[in-house]
Amino acid sequence: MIEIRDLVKTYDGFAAVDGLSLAVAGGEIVGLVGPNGAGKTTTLRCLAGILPPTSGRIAVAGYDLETQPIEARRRLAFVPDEPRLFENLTVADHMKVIGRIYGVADAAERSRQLLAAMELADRPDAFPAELSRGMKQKLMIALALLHRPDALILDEPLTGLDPGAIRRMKRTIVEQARAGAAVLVSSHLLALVQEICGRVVIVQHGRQVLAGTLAEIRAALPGLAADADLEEIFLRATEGAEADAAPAPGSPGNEPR
Amino acid sequence: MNGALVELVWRGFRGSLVRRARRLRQPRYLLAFLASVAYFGFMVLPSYLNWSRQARGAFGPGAAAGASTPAAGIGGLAGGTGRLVAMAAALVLAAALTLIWALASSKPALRLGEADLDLLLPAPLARRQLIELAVWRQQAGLLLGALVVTLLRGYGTPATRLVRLLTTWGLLALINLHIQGVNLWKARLRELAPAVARRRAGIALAAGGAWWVAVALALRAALAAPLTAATEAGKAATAAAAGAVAAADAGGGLAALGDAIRHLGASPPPLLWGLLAPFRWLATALLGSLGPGFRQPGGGAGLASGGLSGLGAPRGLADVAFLLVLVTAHYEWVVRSRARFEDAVLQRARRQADRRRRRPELAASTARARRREPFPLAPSGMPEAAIYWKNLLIPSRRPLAHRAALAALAGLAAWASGAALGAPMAYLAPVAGAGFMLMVMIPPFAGLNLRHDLRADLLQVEILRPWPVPGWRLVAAELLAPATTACSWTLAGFCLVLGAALAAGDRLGREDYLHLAMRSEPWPGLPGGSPLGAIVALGGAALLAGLPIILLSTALQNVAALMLPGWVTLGPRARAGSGLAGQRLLLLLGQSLAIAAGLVPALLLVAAALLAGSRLGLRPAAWQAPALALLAALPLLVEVGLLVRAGGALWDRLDPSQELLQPEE
Repeated sequence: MIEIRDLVKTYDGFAAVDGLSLAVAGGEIVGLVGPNGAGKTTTLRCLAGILPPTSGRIAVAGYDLETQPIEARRRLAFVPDEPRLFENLTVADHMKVIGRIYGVADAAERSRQLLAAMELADRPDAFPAELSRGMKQKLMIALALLHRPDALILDEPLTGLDPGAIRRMKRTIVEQARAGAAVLVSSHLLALVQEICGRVVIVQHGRQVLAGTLAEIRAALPGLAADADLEEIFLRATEGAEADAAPAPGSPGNEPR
Repeated sequence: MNGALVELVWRGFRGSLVRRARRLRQPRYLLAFLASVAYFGFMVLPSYLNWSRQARGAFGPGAAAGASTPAAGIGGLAGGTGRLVAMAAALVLAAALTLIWALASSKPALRLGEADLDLLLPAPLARRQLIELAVWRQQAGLLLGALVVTLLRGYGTPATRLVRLLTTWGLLALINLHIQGVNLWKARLRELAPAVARRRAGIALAAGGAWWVAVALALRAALAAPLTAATEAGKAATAAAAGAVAAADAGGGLAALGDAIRHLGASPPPLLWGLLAPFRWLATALLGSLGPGFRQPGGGAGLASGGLSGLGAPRGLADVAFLLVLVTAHYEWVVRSRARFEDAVLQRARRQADRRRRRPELAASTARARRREPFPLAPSGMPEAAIYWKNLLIPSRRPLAHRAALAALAGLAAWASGAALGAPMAYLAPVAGAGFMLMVMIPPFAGLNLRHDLRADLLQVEILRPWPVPGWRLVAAELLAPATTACSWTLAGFCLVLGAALAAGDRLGREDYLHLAMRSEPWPGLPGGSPLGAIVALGGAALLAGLPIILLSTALQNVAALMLPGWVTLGPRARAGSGLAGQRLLLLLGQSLAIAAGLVPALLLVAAALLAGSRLGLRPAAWQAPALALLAALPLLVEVGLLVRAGGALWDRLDPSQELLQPEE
């Protein structure tokens, strides 16, 4: 459903994403993790069609994002890390506009269901400024799910949500995958990623460091305990990559002459 | 000012320049920059460097020529008229100043950003230093505005140019500082004990009131004598000419007033002249510096001739010195203020941040108002309708049918009020003129003033980019909402003209005020020769031609925003402030040039049609206007189509990571 091949995105010569490849099949949830500045958000924005890639190929449900952008976009939904909404539109207005943009025939009924699921059913006339950050985030997610996307891209979806909402959100993500959607989640909440994602992709400096199921990653990192959690794996993988990237002080190359 | 703060101002200024310069790395910014430089190089600089037209400079020989008449008026205007204009301008300035004092907020509006608040308020800095920082920060914008105004003006030697630059900057700075000073003064009053505050406010009110009373009495005394004499003469003439009493009463009164005003200009009473002196000097500097028509033949800005001539100072130099003294005095007044501004500055920063995020007026709307919509949006159909619907909501949730009804209501009100008042042309002509102005002025400048289009949506690029809508269709949809708003205004203008014409009835044919306003008499070739029919025909033509011009105007601004998003102010509201005068002037100039260029094919087509008609023996007539407007609309719509296609391609290629898609402070 989601396929990224050799994605490169540079800013003024700096490669934020440097040859990243990954694939997410329908019904699968993949976690994209990495330290700050690793290129996660840039990757997701390229995938959502917000940023044009410098090179590489992105396909959604078999449609190339560059050559068939409309078909590809019709099948994907993106939830950004910061909920940015139209300041002059109420909650109901947002659902109406997005329903029409994506041509959702049963938009009214589906909006009612989604708003109820996101606990926004009693706020249809509220403007974004009158919603808390968590409620805005819920509205963003409702908008993303309105057109039943084949590919769901979530950038830090749980930021600002209360514990109850986090639980419901996790359930929603899993339900979307069960319904056949390919879900790509980026998050710093490693426990969440470990809990809901079947596979994990660890990126650093715009490159893939490790990818696979937890068991596969554990196997790829010698010396890790058999029950090591994602946090340990992450730290080990990223510190290891850091060490590979820059010679440590005292190493042969750094010895004073 | 504290050395560290000077460093902060300098580094901030340098940083903003560097940030802008870095955009020139992108070819389209570089091209736009080079085009602007070329425009200034070829269009402005030749006149700038043409000193021969301005042989005598500000400090050159003859600079003090105008200084020989102590009671001279403004610039090159004849003595009496010049003095009258100087006095009228002084009165307007005094009224504006009174309004500033009456309406200014008691919350100081120092421009300090959120970073200043977080980093500088807790720092060991004196209050004066922070006020100085806020004042100095604004000077770059004011100086840039003054520079643009100076560059766009007529001829002059370098010295004259320098004088104009300094006087224009001085005036802008003066206005700015005065408003800040009044704000701080009012804020200070709120902190004082009530009795002290009342006393100070009372002194200010008494001083202002006494000045206005003295001016009113002096003006009355100055006008009374000549008026009485003229009225006596008028009565004598009336008695001599039997049967023309009414006409003589009306005409004689006006003539007497005219004579009295002329007399006032010829020999202004010393008291009035003296009372108005500070405002007169300021007005003379303002009009001498900003208005070419008020320039001295010698090229000086003219203050010395009007006000400081008695001091024997060269023109221009006296302007600058006078303004510098005023600016310095105001600066000291502002920075010495002991008013607590911290809370107000914090509130202002929060308000600004709030305004970026939301519109406070929305919060106050009722649940019923929130459910109103411009038109019912069906769940399926062209997605462009959703974009149009969404953008219509930005300025108002009023249904489209209501907007049309309001326009019709304006016309109905014009007709009813005109008829009720007995259809005096003195009332109907201004009403029709206002309607005519709406019809003529809104289309070319709609793009500058109505911004509920891509310029608002570019801030929401993360929502819009994933939408499954091709770029050119999205751009086309974005133009429709501002075009609809502009159309409803032009329609209101048409309704006003029509209402006034209907109220005028048969007087329209006799008195011809509206004919003159429409510049199209005597309605040749119109069936029945009805002026009303001609107004409908011409108004309809203006509406038909207005729509493509509105679309062109809006498309130009949207394509500019897509092409140079880093240089265009984004968001649904334009930026405000006196520091942006130059930028606004440049925008207006650019838009006017682009619209003028866009109108060329349409005008050529209309000219060709008129020529063909005249070859066929067809005389130009009002009824032909709608057909000609339709003809003119064709090339305009083609241009809009091309711009939409270009905008679509730009949208598809837009890389938000390479642009600064943020509303500027």
